Amino acid sequence: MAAPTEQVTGGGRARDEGSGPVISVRELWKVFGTKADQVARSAELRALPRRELLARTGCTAAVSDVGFEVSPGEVFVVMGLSGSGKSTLVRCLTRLIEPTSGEIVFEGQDILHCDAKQLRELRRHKFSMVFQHFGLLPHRRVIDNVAYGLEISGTPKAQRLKRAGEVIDLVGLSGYERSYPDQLSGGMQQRVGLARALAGDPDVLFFDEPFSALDPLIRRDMQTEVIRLHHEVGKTMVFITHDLSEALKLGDRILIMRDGRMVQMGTGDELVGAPADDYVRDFVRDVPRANVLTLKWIMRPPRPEDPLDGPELSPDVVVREATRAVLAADKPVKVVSNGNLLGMVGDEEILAVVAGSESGA
Amino acid sequence: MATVAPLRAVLIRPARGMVVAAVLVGWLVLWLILRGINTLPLGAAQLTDLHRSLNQLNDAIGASRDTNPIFLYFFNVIRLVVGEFTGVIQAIIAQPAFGGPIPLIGWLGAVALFTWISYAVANAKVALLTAAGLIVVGLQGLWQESMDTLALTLSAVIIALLFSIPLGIWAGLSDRVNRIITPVLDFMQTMPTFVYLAPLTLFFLIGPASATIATLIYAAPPAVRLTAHGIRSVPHDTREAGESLGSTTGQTLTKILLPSAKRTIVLGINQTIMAALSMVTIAALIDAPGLGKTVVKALQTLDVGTAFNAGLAIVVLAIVLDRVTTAASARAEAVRRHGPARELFLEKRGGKQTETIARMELGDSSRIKLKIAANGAAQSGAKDGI
Repeated sequence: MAAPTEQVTGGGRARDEGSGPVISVRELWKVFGTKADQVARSAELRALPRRELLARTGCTAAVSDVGFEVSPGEVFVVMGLSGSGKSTLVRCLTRLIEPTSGEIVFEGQDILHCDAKQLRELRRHKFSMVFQHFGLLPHRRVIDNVAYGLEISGTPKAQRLKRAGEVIDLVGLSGYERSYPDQLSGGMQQRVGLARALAGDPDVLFFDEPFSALDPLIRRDMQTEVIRLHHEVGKTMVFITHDLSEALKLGDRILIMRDGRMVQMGTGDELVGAPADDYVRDFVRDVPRANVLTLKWIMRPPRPEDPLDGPELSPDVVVREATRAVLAADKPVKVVSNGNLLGMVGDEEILAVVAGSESGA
Repeated sequence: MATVAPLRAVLIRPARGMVVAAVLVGWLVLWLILRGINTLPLGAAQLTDLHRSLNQLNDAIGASRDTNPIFLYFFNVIRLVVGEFTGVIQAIIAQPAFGGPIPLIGWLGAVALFTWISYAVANAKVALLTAAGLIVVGLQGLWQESMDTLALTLSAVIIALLFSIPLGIWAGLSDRVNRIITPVLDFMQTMPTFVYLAPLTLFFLIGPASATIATLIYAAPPAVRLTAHGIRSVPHDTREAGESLGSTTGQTLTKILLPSAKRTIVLGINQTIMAALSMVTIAALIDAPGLGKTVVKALQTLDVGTAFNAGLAIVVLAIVLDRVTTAASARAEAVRRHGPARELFLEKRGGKQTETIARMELGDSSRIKLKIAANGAAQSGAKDGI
C-alpha cells in the first residue's frame, strides 16, 4: 500500500515546482438560511459556534471560514464525519452550491465572479466530479454516459465515442460499452462515473465520497484504481471522504473538518504524529501508526554516548519500512537529512510504535 | 430564546379553547339573529335573488355574446378553435365524409389503421385486442358513436397535453410553481364533474367544443402531476452530475430530466386519456356527440338494453385505450432493458455490430413511420378543416 502512495506523492511533489496553486480558497463561507448574507458579513455572528448561530439566527453554517491551497498534481483530501460540511465544501468549489462569501481562485480565475457561461466552460473543460451515488443516466449506455460531457459541449459523434472508448479502457471497463448502468455492479458503475469525469480531460477531479456506497473489497480496488489513475494521468484531485484510512491512503495532504470549520490540515504523518486537538486524536487513534508515521516522528535527540557508525536512514521513511533495518542493526540508526544528523532511532522507539499500533488495532 | 418559547406556549394553549368558545358564541348569536330567515325550503317554482341574478347574468351573456369584447376575442375564439379542432379529428375518424382518407376505406379500414398504430407503439398482443375491441363496437352498430367519443377524447387529450406537459415540466423544475398549481389541480380534480358543466355552457354554449373543454379541464391534472412528479423524482445526484459536466438548463431538461422521467410522463398521459374518456361520456349532458348521448337518451326512456350496449362499447374503448398506452410505456422500458441483453448474447456470436444497427434501425423506422402517419393524419385533417 505504502509504495504506490509514495510514488504518487513523489509525482505530485515534482509538479509543484515553479507553478502556483491550482485551487486557492480563502475565507470560504456557506451559510444556509434566510439571513445567510447577514451572518457572512457580521464578525460577531461569524465567531459563533454552529449551534449558537442556529439558535440566534436560524441559519446553519455548513462551511465556516475555510481556506486552503491545492498544488498541481496533488491529491488533497477533505475528511470529516457526516454533517461536517465537506460535501458542501466540494460543491462550493464547483459552484454546484453557491458559496455565501469568500474567494475561490482556480488557475488564476475567480470562480465566484464567473458568469453562467464561463462557469459552464470551466465545468466542461477544467474540472469534473465523481459522485457518491454515481449519478449515471439510466437511459444511456455506458459509452453514451461517458461521452455525455463531450456531447453537450458539441464534440462530433465519432470523436466523442472514440474518446469515450479510450477512457473506458483506461478505467478497465472494456467490453461493457454497450451495457446499461443498471446491468453493472456498484464498483463498475463508479468506474463509469470515473470515466465520465476523465472524458473531458479536466485539470482537476473532485471526488465526493465516491466509494462510500461500495462494499469494502470493491472500495479497496477502487482506491488502488484511483492511485493508479493518478499515477498515469497525473490529475490534481480533491477527494472527500469520511474514512480516515482512505484519506491516509490517497491523500498527499488531508484537511480535517468539524462542524464546518477546519480543524487541522497536514500530511498523514503530521495528523497522526501531532494531532491538533482531541477530535483529531480520536480520529487517528485506531490508525496503524507504523504504516503512517515516519522516522522523524519517533526519533530521539542524539545522546553523547550514541555510537555514530550505525546505518543511516532518511526522516521520511515510514516506520514499518524501517523496522527490519533498525532491528537488524546492532547499533541505533542515524536519521540523516542532507548530511545533517537529526536524531537517532533504536529498537526501543521502533517497538513502541509497532507494539502500540498492534495493541491499538 | 429561553423566555420566548414558554411564553409562546402560554399564548397558544388557551387560544385554542378560546377559538372554540368564540365559534360557539358566534354561532349562537347568528342563530338568534337569523333564525327563520332564508332557511326555509323553497316552493316548487320559487326563486331566490341568487337564482334570479345568475339567470340575468346568463341572459346578459346571451345577449352580448357577439358584441362583448371579452367574448368576441377570448371565449368565442377558444370555442371556435377547440370546436374546429374537434371537428377535424371527428372528420378524420368518425364522419364518413368525402375528402378524408379513412372514411374512404370504411370502418374496417379504420380498424386496420388503429390496429396498426397499436402495433407500432405497443405490441402484437395489444394490436389484436384493439382489432377485436373495435370490431365488437362496430358489430354492435355503434361505430359512428364510438368514433365520435374517441374523437372527442383524442382532441381533448391532445389539447390537454399541449398545456399540461409544459406546465408539469415547469412545476417539476420550480417549487414555487408547484406550490401554486397544486391547489388549482386539486380543485380541478375534486370538483364534481357535474358542477362545472353549467358555468362552462354559460361561456362556451353547448356542443362538442364545450364538451371538449370540460373534458380537458377534468383530464389535464394527472398529466401535470405525473410529469412534475417524474421530473422531481430524478435522483439529485444524476441531475447534479449533469450540471457538473457543464449542461445548460435546456440540456439538463432534454438529455437528463425528460428521458429519466419518460415512463412517469407516459403514465400521466395514460391517466389523462382514461379521465378524458370518462368525462366525454358525462359531457353528453351538454350535447357532446358519441356513446354518452346514446346512454343518456336510452336511460331517459328506460331503454336498458340500448344503454347497456352503449355502456359496453365505452368499456371496450376504455380497455383498448388503457392497454395500448400501458403497453406502449412498458415497451419503452423493455427495449431499454432487454435490448442490450440480446446484444451481449449476439456479441458472443460475433454479430454484434450489424445486429445492433439493425435493431436501432428497426426502432427508429417504426418511430418514423408513426411520425409519418401522424403527419399524414394532421395534413388530411388540415385539408378537411379548410
